[in-house]
Amino acid sequence: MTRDLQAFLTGALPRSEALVEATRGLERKRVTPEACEAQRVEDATAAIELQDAAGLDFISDGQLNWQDLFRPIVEACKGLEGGALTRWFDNNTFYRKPTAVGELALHSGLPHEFFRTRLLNGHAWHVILPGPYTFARAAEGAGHAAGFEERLDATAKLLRQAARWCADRGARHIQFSEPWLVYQPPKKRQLAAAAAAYATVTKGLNADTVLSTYFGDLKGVYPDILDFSVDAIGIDLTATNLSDLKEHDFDKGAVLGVVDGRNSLVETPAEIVALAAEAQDVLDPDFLAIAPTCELELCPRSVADEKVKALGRALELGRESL
Amino acid sequence: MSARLFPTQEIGSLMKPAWLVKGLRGAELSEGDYAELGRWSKELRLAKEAKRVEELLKAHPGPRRDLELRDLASIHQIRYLEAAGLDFVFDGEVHRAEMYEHPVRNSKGFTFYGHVRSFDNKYYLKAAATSRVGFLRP
Repeated sequence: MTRDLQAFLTGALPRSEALVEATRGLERKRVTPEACEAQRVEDATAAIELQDAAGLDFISDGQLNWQDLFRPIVEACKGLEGGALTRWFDNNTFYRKPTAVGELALHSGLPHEFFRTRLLNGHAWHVILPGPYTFARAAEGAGHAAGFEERLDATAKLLRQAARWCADRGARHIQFSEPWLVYQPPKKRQLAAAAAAYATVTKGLNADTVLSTYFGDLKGVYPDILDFSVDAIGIDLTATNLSDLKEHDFDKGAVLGVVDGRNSLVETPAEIVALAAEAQDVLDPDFLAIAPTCELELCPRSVADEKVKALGRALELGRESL
Repeated sequence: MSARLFPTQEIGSLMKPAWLVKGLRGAELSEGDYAELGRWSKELRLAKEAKRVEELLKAHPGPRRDLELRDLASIHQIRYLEAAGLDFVFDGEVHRAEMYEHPVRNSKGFTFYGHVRSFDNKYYLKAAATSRVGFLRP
């Protein structure tokens, strides 16, 4: 059966060498905030053009000023502080642990500088937010939301506000990044709490939604994850064997992580399409999308650019052959 | 090998002192930076070395001066860990730009592709193995 194939990014793009220099210069007070911001705009424009030229269906601004996946939410929420530097899974990259110090709520929306809606004008805007389970696992509470399930519930309500803020400003496609769900699969009770968190986050949300898993095997939360209240599930195919998923009816969209965001080797379009064809046969999902496994930010910009172009060529090839 | 039941050691790089970071960059030290140099040189009994650091900071940056600054920082870091009473000490990697870059630069078979963010506005150069990897120099 021929279906339309989609493609989009899974996370932040890497900064260009010029932006690396500008942000370093900013820290050393050699570059003014205005000059650094001009470079960020140039990078974001290039990131949008790159995705556009590759023919991606949903376009992000590259998240080039997100210091980690949680930071814009932390900065917008008075009840959160950026805490200790903590390793981002098994990568040579770190995030600041969100630390609950008060009520988890957004009182004035999200900071506009993290969502470059003006540059995205005319494109189908793809927003990438942390998923509630991963946020609650990555965070800690000191007196406030100290228990995990209490924190998960509070985080879900916070992310619901964030997702609505984006949808109200035109976001068409909202991804919730959930590496923790598969890196260390939760026990049944916590998985049920995670499912409830998604019911909270996506209730009444006027956008397509993806729950993106990566850095682990989807088998650990399968098939329970099919009951989560989202339109599509992202699968890291460097960690998941498709044949392990064939026993259940995949009644959602499948977003295939087919471009390895942690490896400098650029995939060929033929390799990507072969995986997509296999996924279509094995899963028979509601729709199929191809994407990087995780944030391409874990590769240098020159490599990431080639990977996005390969994704675009695979999209073209896949639409002809699948 | 120490016969102690629980030998102690530090397991990662130490933060480089401000006088080294700014000195290598050719930036001016603040009064606070000089005060810190003075405080630690007293604490670690490195008065002679601190005097030499101050002389070098006034000199023009260059390979020989920078190497001597790093060597003095090595002495500082080793004495710092010795003063804490650790069983195994090292120089806190003050001669390295970044943990992985140093051995990769001194090996063969790798190609550097560009910077990747480590955290905030800190980056490391990422390399990939593009041919047979081998030892070049220590």
